[in-house]
Amino acid sequence: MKNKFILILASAFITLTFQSCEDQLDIDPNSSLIAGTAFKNVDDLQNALNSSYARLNTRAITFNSIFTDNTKLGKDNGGQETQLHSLILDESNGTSAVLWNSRYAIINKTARIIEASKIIDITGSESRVNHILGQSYALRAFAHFELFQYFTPDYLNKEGLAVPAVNTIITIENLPRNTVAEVIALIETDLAKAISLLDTSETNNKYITLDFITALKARLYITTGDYGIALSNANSLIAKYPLANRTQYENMYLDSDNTEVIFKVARVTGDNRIGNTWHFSGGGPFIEMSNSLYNTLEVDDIRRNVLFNEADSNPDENLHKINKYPGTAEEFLSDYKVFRVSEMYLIKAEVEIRNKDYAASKITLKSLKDARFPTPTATGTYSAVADGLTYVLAERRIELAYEGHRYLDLKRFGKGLVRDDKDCSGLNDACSISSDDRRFTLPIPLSEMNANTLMTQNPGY
Amino acid sequence: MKKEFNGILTLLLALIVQVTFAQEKQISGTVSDETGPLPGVSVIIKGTTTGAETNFDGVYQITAKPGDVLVFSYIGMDQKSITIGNSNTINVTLTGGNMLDKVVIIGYGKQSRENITSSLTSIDAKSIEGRATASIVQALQAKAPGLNISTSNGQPGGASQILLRGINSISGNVEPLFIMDGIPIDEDNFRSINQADIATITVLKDASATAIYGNRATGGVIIMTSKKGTINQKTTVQYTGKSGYTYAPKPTIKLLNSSQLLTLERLQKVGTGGGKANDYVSEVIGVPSGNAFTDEQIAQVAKTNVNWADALLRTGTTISHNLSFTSGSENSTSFTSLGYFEQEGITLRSSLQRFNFRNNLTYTKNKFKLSTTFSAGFSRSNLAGGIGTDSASGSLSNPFLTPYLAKPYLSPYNADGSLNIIGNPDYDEAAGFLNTPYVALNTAKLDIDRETEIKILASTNATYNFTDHLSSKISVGIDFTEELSKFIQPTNSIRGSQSNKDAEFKGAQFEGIRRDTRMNTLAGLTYINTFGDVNNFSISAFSEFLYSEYQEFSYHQVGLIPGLEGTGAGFVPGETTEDPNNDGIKDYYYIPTLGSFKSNVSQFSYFTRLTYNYDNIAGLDLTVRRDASSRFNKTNKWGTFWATGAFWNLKKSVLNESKLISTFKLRASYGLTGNDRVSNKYYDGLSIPFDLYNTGSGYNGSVSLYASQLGNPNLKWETTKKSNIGIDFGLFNQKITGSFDVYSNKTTDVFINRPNTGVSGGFTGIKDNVGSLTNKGLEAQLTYDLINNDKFFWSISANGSYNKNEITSLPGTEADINGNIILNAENRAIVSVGHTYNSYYLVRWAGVNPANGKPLYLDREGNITEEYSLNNRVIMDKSSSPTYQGGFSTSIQYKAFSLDANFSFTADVYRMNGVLALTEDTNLLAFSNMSTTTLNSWKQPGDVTSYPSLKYSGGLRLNNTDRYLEDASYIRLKTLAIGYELTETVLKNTLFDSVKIYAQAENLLTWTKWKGMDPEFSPYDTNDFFSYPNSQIFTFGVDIKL
Repeated sequence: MKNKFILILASAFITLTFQSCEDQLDIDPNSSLIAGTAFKNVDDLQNALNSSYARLNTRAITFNSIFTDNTKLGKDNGGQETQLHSLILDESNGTSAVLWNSRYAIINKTARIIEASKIIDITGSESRVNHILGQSYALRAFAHFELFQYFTPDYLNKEGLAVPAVNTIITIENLPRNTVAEVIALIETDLAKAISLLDTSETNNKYITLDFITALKARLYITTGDYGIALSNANSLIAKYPLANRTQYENMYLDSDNTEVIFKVARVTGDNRIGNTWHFSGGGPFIEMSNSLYNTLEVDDIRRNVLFNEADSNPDENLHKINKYPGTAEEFLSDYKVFRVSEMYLIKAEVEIRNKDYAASKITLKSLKDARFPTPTATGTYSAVADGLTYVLAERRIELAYEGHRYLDLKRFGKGLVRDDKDCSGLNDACSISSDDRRFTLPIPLSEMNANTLMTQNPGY
Repeated sequence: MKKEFNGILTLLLALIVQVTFAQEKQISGTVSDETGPLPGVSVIIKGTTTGAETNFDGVYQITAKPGDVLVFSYIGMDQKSITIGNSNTINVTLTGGNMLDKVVIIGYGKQSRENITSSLTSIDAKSIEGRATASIVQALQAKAPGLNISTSNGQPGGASQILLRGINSISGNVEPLFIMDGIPIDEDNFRSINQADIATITVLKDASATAIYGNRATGGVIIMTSKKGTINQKTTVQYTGKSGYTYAPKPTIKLLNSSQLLTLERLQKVGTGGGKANDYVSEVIGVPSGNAFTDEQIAQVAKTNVNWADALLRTGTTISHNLSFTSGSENSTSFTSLGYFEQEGITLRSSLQRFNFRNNLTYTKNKFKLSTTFSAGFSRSNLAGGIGTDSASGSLSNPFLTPYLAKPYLSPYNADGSLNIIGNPDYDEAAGFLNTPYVALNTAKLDIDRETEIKILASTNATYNFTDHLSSKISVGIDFTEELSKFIQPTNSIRGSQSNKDAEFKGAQFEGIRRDTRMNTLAGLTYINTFGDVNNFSISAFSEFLYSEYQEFSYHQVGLIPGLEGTGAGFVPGETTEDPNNDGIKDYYYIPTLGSFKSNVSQFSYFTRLTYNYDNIAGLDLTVRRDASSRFNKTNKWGTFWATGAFWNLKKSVLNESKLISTFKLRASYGLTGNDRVSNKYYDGLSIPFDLYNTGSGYNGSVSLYASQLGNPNLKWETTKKSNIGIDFGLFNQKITGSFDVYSNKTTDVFINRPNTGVSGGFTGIKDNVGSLTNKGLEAQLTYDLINNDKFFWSISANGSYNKNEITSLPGTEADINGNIILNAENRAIVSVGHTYNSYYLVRWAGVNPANGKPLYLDREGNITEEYSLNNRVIMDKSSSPTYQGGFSTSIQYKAFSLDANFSFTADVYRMNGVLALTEDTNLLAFSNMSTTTLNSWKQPGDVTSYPSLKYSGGLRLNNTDRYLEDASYIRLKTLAIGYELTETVLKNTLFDSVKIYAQAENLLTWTKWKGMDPEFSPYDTNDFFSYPNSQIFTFGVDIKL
């Protein structure tokens, strides 16, 4: 009897705790949404689009300025960006990983929007959804194009390797690299879809508009060597957007003028501040304008006022602070100008030079320069394609400085990087890179190589 | 939970049955040791759970039958067994010193060391009671072989990294489980616990010892119990007081003096000496900028030559008081203690203040025993600015960084001798590093970073013996921690005034409250019996439930009203608008940021333990435990862990004739333990099985919705197979005692952040079970009582361990072009197959080319090259986790004097010296001081030196080379204590029972090749970058009993 009693007690002991605890073992996360319930209505699609835009970071500005001849180490440098400025570029480099991951994040986020739009009920909101989808396709095309620019060794070899072209939601699937032709084909398809879906009345240049697509096409086709299409797209924007005058040009970088801005990425309180690419908060520069860029700036060029911080610099003591993004409401907080019409003039001129129509190109370039100087400027004196391209590259360097172009321009124009001795002293031989150097194509990031067995690395890395 | 507990108790009480005893008689007697009666000795009838305890006079009473065997045991003493004959009085004398027979605390119970199959180490609590460290864990360093404790943050009460038998996971938790009075407690926070309350500490190492803790036992288990009273004891009052000072260790890197520095600046054409001082510096030193300094100007300016460490570092004070009351009546005992502790760190603002209360009660009536423990700790930590580990400590507020940066010709003092906490008043002009030292002083003086914590540990434990052989146990425990962190940058501080630059009101205040509640309940039954006098058998079954909950709330307000900082009245209302740039758009500067977070974890387990031994000569045990963890998906929730062990006491069998050998026992164990802690932090990684979305701030001030995690629903238990063989022995009648252990632990399904394609949208890692690793090692412990007589006792002891860690596989990670499989090749210390965790992966530095002063490196093949390329990195046979570690100590008592010295050591361990690297980076000369080694730079062809030409020495610290990889092995005199106990004749007519005075020193001496302030570091912090060093602490104390 007693033993039985004890047996019952023993089982009661074990089971009592057991039963009351079993349901405590299934715990769902408290502070997040479970995937199945994330998308419920059109607002959610819009919110997901807001997240896609937010990944348009300014790493291109960082890399194109610090890895080139437009900067030197600053007065207050305590080691910031010295690896990059020393031209050390290998597969563990942060720029590769940031560009790769953030651009594929845009591609992934937009793919999720496109998929979710098929599931949720959009009745009555079709036009709103179409505009969201149009922006999604356009963003995806832009992200693919940027990846293409940095990771493709040879833009003109249609069968050469580019980057994975992705139009589905990838989670753990490994993808190989697609060819140049395949990536361009996907970009073209996405742009065509975007044109058919976008709301044509939208003109806010902080969001995707039809003009964004035209500008992207001009940039895409000048890169792929389809100069005729590049020119027609550039021309249609030149017809629509005037060049900023000198006052408007200065105000453009204070974000109070939009005369020639086709698309800019908004930067509001809480966002990264572009000026912090080169400065500590408070203004101490760890990276400064290079002597070589400074020496090319003419005193009465309005772009000198915009690029160079005259007040806080002292060229005699090799102190040249960058001024392009001073910020207004907050120090260094400025919008990121992605497409301006002046780039279209430069594209137009480049095509004209490549077509040996030097006279037309000189007029195109003069009209751009005249807008920047108080008095009419002299025209170029070149009479050969190579000289003309050198001239247009020099003009691009000044007009588009610190806007994410210099490295890509050197790559596309097939020019080596040559720094002024004053800009690279103290850095072990980091004064030049020849045009055929592996470093003119970014390495596939190490994290991708580690994870993705189908991925092939760029030559030389 | 509470309701359920009540239910069980009711059930228990309702089922109490009367059992009658046949032929029983009352046995009584006195138990004593060499010095007199021994209170608190456990007297148990062998093979049953029936027992009694001796009272303060060493007297016990127990009801037993003739033929029963009484087992007398006391922690720290030899166990003794006596068979009851005709006599009703049995007096017993217990002796100490025989390590093998001591009673030790094991998982979920107590056991005689004689019958234990497992590897464990008991630490004498007396040896840590008097320690001046603020955390009990720091006092455990070098106390047990295989237990590696390193503290890389010298903040009083700062957290330590605890490793037992090596690093046994890659991204999962590696630290041991800590149990206090049966409650699992947070292994990362001991600053609010009073170490004077601790009675015993046991370190469980192998599978047999730890498997009973199943799911959490991979990193080993450390069990602590707090002090309790004993039955019928005399009430004692004990007071312990200590007071002393904390000192910063002396830096070994020599910096340039003002004259040398100005000369170097002139040579390099930078900074003040190069004629490039800013307006403020020019004014302070009284020499205009423009031209390089003349010798006269250097001599004039170098009249100021200060050591900034004097301004930022200090000698701290430390005080502690402990008062305890211990009493015991026939049925109940109590232990009550009050503690106060205060310690200032070695830098401004750094301190810990703590108040503790503890009350432990026991109540025994017939077969029912109830004990409760309750402790409450209140602590307040003031933290210095910018302290961190590794690269995180590069903050410019860091007071350990600033003395290296500051120019010695700029004084931290005003003319009137007060501290200059402003420097250059024009902040924008001074924003560069040159003003950093003044900003650090300003931050140290004006800003506040404070953590106020309440920690409650409480447990209730009830046992009831149904019969002589069957007992039940139920316990409930809680570990409650609430921490309020408050961070204020007042409007008048430099950082505060810069925190809201464009708005009218400056200053910032952050407060966060974090509440962590961990509860557990345990119920179990134990059956013990002895068959045929020699077959000792026991079986236990338990079920345990753990539930933990974490909640956090915080706000961050920017914009405070001057004079009201730190109070609720000081917030500028969030709806206030301004328009400083007059663009007609109202700007909101004062909207506070809010944060709220919650997570919970639960675990349910049931387990059983069987033990059998033949007359204490040889035995076996078996433990099986099933655990369910809420951290995994439904299908992977359950894990089964087990272990088996065996012992054979050779002294009691084949060696019983030996004169030389006094004890000898062989042990072996094998088993499987588990780990569900996917991340180091307790509440991290809970959502890994789920695909998640989150909302946050989006583009252009909007709301965004985004996929925030790729889930891994297949996540499962990480498991470790542990095997251990050991011996415990004593020689020459126990004059020499010791133990050796050999172990091999193989961890599979290791938690790793598996690389994933970035095409997934940047989800470049997924937590998964891939890979395997092993830890193999040896441990030894030896004690030699050189002299042991009435007047003179001298003993020496040593412990040491060797641990070899190796990553054995990393599936899913591809071999690189050199055939190496490396998980994280971007790091300076890597995880790679065939190598120790955190092996350094660096380009080998080959000195300086005498021809041109350029740095030289070795390429992969070992050829000298001037090119620095990451492709030339090699995996070095050097890692940040020590291969050898341990300690040795000596204890001397001569009449009333005592001397105790404890040394700790680690060997074959390497760390990057980022501090030295910074002081040799001449790129920083414009605003930083330099090491005197820069004077030895290459100057002309033919110079043979290890310091490159100043033309090439800039920026080298950022390269991944082994130039600054240093041997961080050390031997340290961890503690030295000298005591004097007042003689009985002196105390005869006082109310004191005993009075002892002592002096004690922590970290008095260190022998090391390491060139920084402190060689001690966590294996996870591979680069020393101005971390907070452990201080030297000197205290005087008194210990009074009445």
